[in-house]
Amino acid sequence: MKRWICVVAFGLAVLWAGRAAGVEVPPLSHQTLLALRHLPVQYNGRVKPFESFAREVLDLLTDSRAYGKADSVSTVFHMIAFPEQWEEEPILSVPYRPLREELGFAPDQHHISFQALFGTHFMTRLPAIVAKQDAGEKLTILENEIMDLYSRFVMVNALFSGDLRLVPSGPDPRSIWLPLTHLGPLPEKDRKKIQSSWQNALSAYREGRMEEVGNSLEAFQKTVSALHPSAIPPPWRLRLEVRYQHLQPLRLAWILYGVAAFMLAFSLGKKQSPLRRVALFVIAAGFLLHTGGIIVRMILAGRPPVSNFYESMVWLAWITVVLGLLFEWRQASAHVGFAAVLFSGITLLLSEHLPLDPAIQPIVAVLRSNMWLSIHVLTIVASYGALTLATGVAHLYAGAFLAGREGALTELGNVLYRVIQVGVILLAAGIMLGAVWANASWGRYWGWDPKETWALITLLWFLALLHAQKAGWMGKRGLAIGTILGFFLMLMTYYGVSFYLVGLHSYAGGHAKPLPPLLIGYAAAESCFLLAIWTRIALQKIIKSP
Amino acid sequence: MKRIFLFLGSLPMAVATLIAIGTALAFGTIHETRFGTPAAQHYFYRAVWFQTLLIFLCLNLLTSALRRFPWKKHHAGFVMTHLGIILILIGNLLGIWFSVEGSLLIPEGETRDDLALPQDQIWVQPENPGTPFSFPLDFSTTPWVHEVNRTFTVDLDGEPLHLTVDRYFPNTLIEEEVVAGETPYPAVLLELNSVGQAPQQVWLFSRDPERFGFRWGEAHVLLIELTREEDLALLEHPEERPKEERGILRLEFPELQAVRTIPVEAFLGKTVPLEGTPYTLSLKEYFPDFVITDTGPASRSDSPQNPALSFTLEGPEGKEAFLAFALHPEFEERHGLSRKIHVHAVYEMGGALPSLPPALIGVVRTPEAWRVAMTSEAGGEQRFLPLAPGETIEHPWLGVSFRVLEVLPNARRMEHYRVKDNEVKQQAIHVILEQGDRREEKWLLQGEAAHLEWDGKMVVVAYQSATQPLPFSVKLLDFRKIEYPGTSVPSGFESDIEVRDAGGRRLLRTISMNRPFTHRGYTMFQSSYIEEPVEATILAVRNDPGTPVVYAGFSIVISGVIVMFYFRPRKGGKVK
Repeated sequence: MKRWICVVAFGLAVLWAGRAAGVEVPPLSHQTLLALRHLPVQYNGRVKPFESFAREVLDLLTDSRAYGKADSVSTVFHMIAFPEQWEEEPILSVPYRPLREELGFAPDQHHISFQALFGTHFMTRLPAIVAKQDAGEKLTILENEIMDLYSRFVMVNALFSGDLRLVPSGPDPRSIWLPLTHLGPLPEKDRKKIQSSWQNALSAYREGRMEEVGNSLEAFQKTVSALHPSAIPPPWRLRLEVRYQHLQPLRLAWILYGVAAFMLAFSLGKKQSPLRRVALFVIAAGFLLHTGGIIVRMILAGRPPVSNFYESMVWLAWITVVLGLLFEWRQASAHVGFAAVLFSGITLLLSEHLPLDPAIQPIVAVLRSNMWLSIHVLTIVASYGALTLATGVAHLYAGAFLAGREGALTELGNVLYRVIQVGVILLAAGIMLGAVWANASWGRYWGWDPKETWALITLLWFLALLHAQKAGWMGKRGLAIGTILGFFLMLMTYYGVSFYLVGLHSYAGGHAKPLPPLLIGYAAAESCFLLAIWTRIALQKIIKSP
Repeated sequence: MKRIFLFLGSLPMAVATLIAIGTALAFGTIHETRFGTPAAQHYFYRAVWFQTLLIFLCLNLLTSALRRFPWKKHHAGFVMTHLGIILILIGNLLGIWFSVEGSLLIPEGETRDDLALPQDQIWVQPENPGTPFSFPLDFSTTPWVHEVNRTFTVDLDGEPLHLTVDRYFPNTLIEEEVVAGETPYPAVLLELNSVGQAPQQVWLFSRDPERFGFRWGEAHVLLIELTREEDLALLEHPEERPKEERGILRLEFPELQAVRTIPVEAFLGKTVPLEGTPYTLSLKEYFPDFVITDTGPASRSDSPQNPALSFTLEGPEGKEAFLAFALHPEFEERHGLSRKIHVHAVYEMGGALPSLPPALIGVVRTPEAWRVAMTSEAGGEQRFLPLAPGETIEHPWLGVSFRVLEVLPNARRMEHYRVKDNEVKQQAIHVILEQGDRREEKWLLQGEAAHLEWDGKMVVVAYQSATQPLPFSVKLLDFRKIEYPGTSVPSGFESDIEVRDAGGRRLLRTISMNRPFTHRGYTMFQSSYIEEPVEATILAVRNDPGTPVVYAGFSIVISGVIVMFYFRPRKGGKVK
């Protein structure tokens, strides 16, 4: 167990280190920051505070959640005010090595500057790729990466030219906002007022008159709000989102889960240990933040928290904790809670550090909010949460077996069986609800779409495990091994299909990504683990046989 | 017998069947990724062996439930879940055997009553009226087989016509080759250069309505063909164009192979029979500068800005009114789709030559010469140059350069069909028609029809989706798309439709994503849409008698799970 914790801690240390920026961003005054953070911007189909916009922009450009020492808001505002300082700064992420090589950059240069990109021929490749995309053809990884790079290029270009959608064009909140550079449709008077206050803010910032920046921004916001008050989200909503971005409750949650897992690791099986009691308080705090984070996202987006991969992982982790605590309490177990917080913490950690988009996004047409979608996706992901917990318990079982702790095995085995039952029922219900939804949405309850088929394969596997257990074909040890193997089927359903197989459910994933080293590493580690168990079993047999 | 029965319903049998089905499905998805959905459906999900596996699972579930007969109270959950799954499997099999599934593509304002099925067919229609023949094609289930060699025979005027499909390409790439030929067909190959973009090469054909030009950014790229040598001078010096001439009307009757030319000035306001045809022409009105006002068509001024001519034709089919524009010869093609009289009307004005559009990158072809023509962005200025192939020309107003790489007065276009990969996408077949000594061959893309002349008669051969008539018709009244703010991502789309039964009953409904409409067993779903060239909706239509059975199975399984937990022994874990 300690080995595990060491690995996780090392991973944290590596991921924690942000990238250092070369451009010095002077700190903004408190008043300025306050005004700037709450400035509503229309970006990616939603009106959001500048705080979220800045974070999303930096995430898009640099591909990392933290850039430089200054906060995202100051950094992005600095980019708008001093484009010339940022033109030669390597900020644009080029994560795909073959693309770096093709564009003539050093193979290990992960970030390039706007200037450097401008000097390459990458734009000449675009028309052909766009034509291919329009023809509905599948793009190669390289072509997808070129399109990603192009979206970064467009974004940085928009920042440098001040092309931000800050001004509502009509009273309807769904209308497309006007960028600062094209305020043509506005009345002359308003246009001048808006442009001059924005320009004042920028020039005051450029010339170091920090007090004036905030005042001008406030004046700017006042004029813009007066134009179409109904198009602007209510202040509480903007404040809530800024708070959420600042607090990052989901990050705090996994840190707390990690701490709790560490404590529980030392009190495994001891129900009355004081350390365990403290750990339960830590878990409670983490769980509150976790739940709060999900609720805030629901309020802001106005729909259940399952629109993209990131949100589904957060929900999965939540279910894992809920079920884990439920079992710990109902079955009076002193092990399940540990497995739950450990695996839930790892899931949250991954959700933050995998290249997933944490932005609160609008939802694609086929996923348009309706009852069936919510119930279907929530149930399916809940079943993944249960199966993740089962995998955690299976590891504990196998670990106890390897460590020779016979005492814990019976309890863990029974809990494992129960958790799989819950997972199977949730998965079956999710598949059936999905069928009802598919019938309403696509006109057939079942179409052998790869995602559907793999969900069914996962279900069949775990059903086979339960039946084999009942038939007495294998003991709890076999069940644990089967669960560890079944987790790969679940990963294929949850992650693999969206990325490696075609199908209608593709909106859930994104374009083809190369097989992440993390997955290969996990598969390798798991193979070693299973090999160790097998060796142990073989040894036991040799010792027993005369 | 009893032992077989017990073994069939045993747990080991269940585990083996579950794993067998799971493995088969895993291979099915991989097969689908490699060879496409039709192939996977054919070889896995709808294959007889897979159905057998499902039936076997049914038997296994049934015997396992019957083994426990007579059922006790604590068996309720077990029996319900297992019988529920049997119902789901039976419903699925019913779907495979009896369901009808297809799609309806309806342009706005039009009515459709035949369902396009997922299967393809080859369809042969001898001279109209004649009985059409159709043969189903299933090449898409084996997309890796390109040499298909399938022969069908139809009866054409009492003599057998052999139809051979020798090649099938699941995903076709058409490569165009332009070579010098004998008959006049002007073509140029242009290379366009703009800073920051790769050079672009494009062939233009003056007589192809889809390929004589295109928009390139702000620029109009065109190949213009003039029928008279002297028109070039008029084009170069627009101020010398005659002001008052009213041009000629040319009427082409393709079926009669007759062309009649009428000078407008002399016949305006008169009614004349067209000799050699059954038609009578009456020239109604001439509009030098046509415009539609509240009170109908009128002329805005006396100068020929937009010359138009209204006339009627009367013949065996009845009487029809036409409107022809000198500057918009395509108008009639676009708006006169449902004409009774098959005629092609061209209104030509000596004084109203095609004037050059603004921001032009153009090549002008006269019977004898070639010229390069360019105009400024506003269209006020123009420049003509002699054409020198290979020479780079800087456009004086647009900041781009171009080269004419090749000019062919008598071009011949050849198309080479190549297979790109085995993904079922742009399908094509190569058809050979044979009757006696007569032989003709043709490539057909999916959805394409070829009109072949056969001993002076027309034979239509089409490669298209098989169709099935619906017991009602559907008219698309309006289609709407709603987008998310600030993006072009659609947040939803919906179609207003009118459903009409054979009996005349009319129903008005709106179908949107997730809001289907069921009529006489057929459920219609909003599936997709197209915007070009006309707005049209695509509805998925399905009639699956298995669905209620499957739904019944779902509810029984879910109730069974609830019951199972209710009757769960308080202590000790497993249900015995």
